[in-house]
Amino acid sequence: MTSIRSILVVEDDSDIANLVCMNLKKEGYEVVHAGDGRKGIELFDQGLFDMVMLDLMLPHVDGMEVCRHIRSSERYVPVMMVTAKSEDANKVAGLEIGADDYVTKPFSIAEVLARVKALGRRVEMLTKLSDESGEKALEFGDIRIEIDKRIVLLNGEDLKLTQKEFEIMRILSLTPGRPYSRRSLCEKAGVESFDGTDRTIDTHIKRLRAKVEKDRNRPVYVLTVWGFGYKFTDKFC
Amino acid sequence: MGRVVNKLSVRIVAVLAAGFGLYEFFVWGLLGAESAWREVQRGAAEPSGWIRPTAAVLAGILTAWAIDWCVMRRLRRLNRDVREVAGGDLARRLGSRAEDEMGELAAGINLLVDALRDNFDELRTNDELRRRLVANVSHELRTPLTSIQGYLETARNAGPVSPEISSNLDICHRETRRLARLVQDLFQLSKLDTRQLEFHHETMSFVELADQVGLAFEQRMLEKEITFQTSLPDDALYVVGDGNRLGQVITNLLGNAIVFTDRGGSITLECVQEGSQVICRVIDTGVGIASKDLPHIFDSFFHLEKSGSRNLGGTGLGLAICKAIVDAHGGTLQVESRQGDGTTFWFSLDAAAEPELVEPAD
Repeated sequence: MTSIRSILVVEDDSDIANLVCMNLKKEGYEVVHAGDGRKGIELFDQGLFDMVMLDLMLPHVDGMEVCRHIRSSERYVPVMMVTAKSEDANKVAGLEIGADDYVTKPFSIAEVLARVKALGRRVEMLTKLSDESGEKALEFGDIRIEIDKRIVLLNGEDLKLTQKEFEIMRILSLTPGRPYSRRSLCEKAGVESFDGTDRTIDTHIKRLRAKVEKDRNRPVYVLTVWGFGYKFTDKFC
Repeated sequence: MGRVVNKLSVRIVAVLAAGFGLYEFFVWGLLGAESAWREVQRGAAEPSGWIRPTAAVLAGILTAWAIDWCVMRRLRRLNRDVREVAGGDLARRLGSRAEDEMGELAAGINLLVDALRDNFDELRTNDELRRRLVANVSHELRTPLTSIQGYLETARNAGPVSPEISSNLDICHRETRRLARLVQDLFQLSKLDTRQLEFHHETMSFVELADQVGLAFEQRMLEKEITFQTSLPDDALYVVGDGNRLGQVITNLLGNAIVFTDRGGSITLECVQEGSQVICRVIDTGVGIASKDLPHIFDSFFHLEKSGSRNLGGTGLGLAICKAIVDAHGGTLQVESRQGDGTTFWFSLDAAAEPELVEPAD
């Protein structure tokens, strides 16, 4: 069991809601169900949920709006979008407004449960880092990221990242597997756009990969999310 | 009535003009020319009959040219218009407004074009409706399929049941998953057919993409004891394309290669630049494809007879989708195979220049 204990499932189809809730409960999670977007927001504001599973097409208030509401709250709560819409535009829009993962119907229950666990490990890592007394370092294979000292070590050797490169590395590695759009990565890492596009980030990523990856053309840590942006590998989670 | 009188008067004038022209030409032109020629032969210094015959011949030529100019010019225009209609421009109207035979011919052809256009519109509407229906139905099937698949999965994991029930549940689950894939493929193919599938083209490293897809297959290759090699160059090999869709093509080709390659066989994923083209090859040592099947390999719902790929979970749409995706990138997807010797699928894309770096401040 990971640090995710309680899950809010916002789904209007009662059969699917029942299916998801039943399987999550079997895995030991506390589950609360909301049948529409308005109820979802209401319950989210009332309770302290560790995660939200959110259908995109909902009555009253749609999933995108609910996700925006969740992201406006101070606490980081992972959001998994579950939807029948598989078009890339929907996926991109969902990820852009802050969804952590995106599952398309028809999905396999085993896959959903595995993804919930992966999100749990992410929350666990963040919780560990925010713990005052804990060590502020992340390890992924040969890479060690020391958040306090703002350094990244490869097999113990300081890679001497620039400020921006470190920021990008820190942001991506804090949530392994979560895709960031070029724009949001620019904003979060304080990268200014010089040509009016979000492509400035590509240059930073290229230089970061040259330092971090064994072969920058075949990256292992900093991965491309095609047509969207970048993510940190989740294979070490 | 006025129209009839008008048409009649035009004809009378035309007949009189033609008659006068011919009369002048034959009587004064030819006969006059003949008598003038005789005068010349007799040795007359200045033949008297030259002026009128010359004028008559000129009048004849002018009349013929005028008739040609009036009639043939309109015929040529009509011919040009008809050819443009035949070329697909069904909105074109044939322009003759004259109330004569030529005008009636143009009006007749216009009616024919109208009827053709109506039929085409109807066909197009029906085709569009059919594609939309396929897209909508496959979309609407997703939610019930999720329930069926999910509850079957839950039932299989619920606890020990009799071997017969367990086997039945396995069949139901396997077939539901195949149905889900079919729904997904149908949805995508209908979107590709109607050019509604969005492509997000960007300059991207093809080697990075191939490497990522290849890595995702390593476990499956290992499980089936297939030797899997990725042969990728040190260069990034840039192309302009949609990484998700191109990744889908490589995934599909590798997936097929696994299905049709026996244990102990080998599969190679190779990317090279040849001239101005980036070539991606998936080479297997599998069962191969009979030469009679090769021309149909990219057809929708085509299944290889002997392989029984239906039982292996194929929808028969994967290669049709791959081809449509590669086509949409301006590339070509091809296959080479000999039964028993394995198969090579490859596609080519235009190589692109490495994107210029935007110099960041740091």
